[in-house]
Amino acid sequence: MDQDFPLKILPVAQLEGHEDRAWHVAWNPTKPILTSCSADKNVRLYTYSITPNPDAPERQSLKFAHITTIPTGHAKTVRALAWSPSGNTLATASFDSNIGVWAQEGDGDGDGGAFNPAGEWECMSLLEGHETECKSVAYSSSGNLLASCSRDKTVWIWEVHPDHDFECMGVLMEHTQDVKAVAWHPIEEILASASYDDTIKLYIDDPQEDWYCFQTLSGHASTVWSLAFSPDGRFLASSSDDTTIRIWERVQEHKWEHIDTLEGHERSVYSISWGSGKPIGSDDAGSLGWLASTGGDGIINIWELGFGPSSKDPSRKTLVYRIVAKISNAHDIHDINSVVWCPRKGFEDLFATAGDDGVVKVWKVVPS
Amino acid sequence: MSAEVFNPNPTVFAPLKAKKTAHSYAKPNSIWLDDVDRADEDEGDFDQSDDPEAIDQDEIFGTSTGSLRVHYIELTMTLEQLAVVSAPQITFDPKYPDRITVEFTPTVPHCGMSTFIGLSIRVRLLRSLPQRFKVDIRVKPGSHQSEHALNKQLNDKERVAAALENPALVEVLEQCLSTAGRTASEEEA
Repeated sequence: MDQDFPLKILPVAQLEGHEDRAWHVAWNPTKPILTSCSADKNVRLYTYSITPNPDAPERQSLKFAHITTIPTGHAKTVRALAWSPSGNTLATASFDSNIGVWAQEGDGDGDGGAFNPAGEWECMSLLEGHETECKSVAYSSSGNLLASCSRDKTVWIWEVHPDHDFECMGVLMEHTQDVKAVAWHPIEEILASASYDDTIKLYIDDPQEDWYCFQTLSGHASTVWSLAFSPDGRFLASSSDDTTIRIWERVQEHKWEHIDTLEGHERSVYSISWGSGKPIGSDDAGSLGWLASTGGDGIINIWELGFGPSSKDPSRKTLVYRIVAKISNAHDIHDINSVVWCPRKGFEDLFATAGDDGVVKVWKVVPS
Repeated sequence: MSAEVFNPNPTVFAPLKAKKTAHSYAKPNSIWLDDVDRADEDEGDFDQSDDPEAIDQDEIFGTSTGSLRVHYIELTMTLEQLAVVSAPQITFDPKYPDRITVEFTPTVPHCGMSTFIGLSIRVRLLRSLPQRFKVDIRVKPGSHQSEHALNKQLNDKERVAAALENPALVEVLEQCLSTAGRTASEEEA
């Protein structure tokens, strides 16, 4: 048991089945589906449903069930996953240097027929271009753009066309080392990338020209592993091998500044996820939601973040934060590679993790 | 692997006599003592072991890292013979006994095989140590011109995982690891 926190993290489901390290999890944004990927080259799909408890509505239980496994055909590890905002298309990033695009027949653009996620998932497109391992993939909030990154130091931006057709809009060669992660701003078409070169780069599209890097964020002392924008898009969080999380604030349209550093881990922070959370008290003015963080120390921290009057100078606003829940050895002795909040309405207190034990776990944050 | 000779005249050190008889904890059923016989079999067995048996630096050194071989010029030598690794270079985190740092010393500051040597040490420990151990591998401070880059690469789990999916690299690695577990005195016999 960890010390006193206002919230606690309860296990909801333990999903086994991968035969090797599980690297990443992704929630379908529109349907009750959770997916995971692994060094075993498979993608596993789970559904979940609520069993209501009429006597105590707050104690409804969630049931997860494995529905299908996609044997991706990737020649190497499947490192990362991304669902399109429509929830119809799943992208896979693999160490075989390719991005796979998966969907179900007849579920492309229209709403043809009943949705049956247990049916066959087909590889609709294979995006080739990266020279070495792909490490991350992400859809923009509109679903019109897809970004991918690789050990080849590049970030590629793809435009999504009908019928699973993709057009490369730009190859960004800004980083001097492996690019570990890409993340899109939740509202605008701003892309962020994190690298083994210890920096974060921010990119936008110049309507007259091409995509370009408008800012480099430096400060981390080692590899930047993961990125997460705040749900309102005013802040960006980054996590690093230096064991810290940095928070960057958008101070001008094209200018971001470091405002604080969160210290709560002992080893590399491999993954962070920023969700809207569920306010603890009645006072949620200025709340920025909950940030979940995890990594090589096997600890999951839930940070409550807000933007309010500074304690030193109440006339100034500043980032306020605290750890509201924590769990150690969440995957027993193993590293945790990924933590992701469920993006669906009503499930803001639910998140999933993937570990070196090959297990995917689902957790719920509840009052202590 | 490049055929370039980084250190044409390496100093070869006499291996220390095996100290394992001195260890009172080295019971006949030690997970380490039968390592030799089983080295060619499924080493995955060890991964299943959650036996919280005490393991010290000599034990990790003796059966895991010191006996790793590198092909150097025409010679094949162990890391112990080259004094690349030694027992005192294996240290335990005082707060967490399952967190280990293994330091190694390249024979020359421009040794181009250092990444490979570090990777072979990592893989050997991945295969032989119980899973609960978290291992950091570092070159001895000041011993290599690319010290920072080496340390960073050897401790990036994603890069290590990708390297182990590279068939050409794994083939060379397996050659290096094939004699692991044998002590120097057994080699001479």
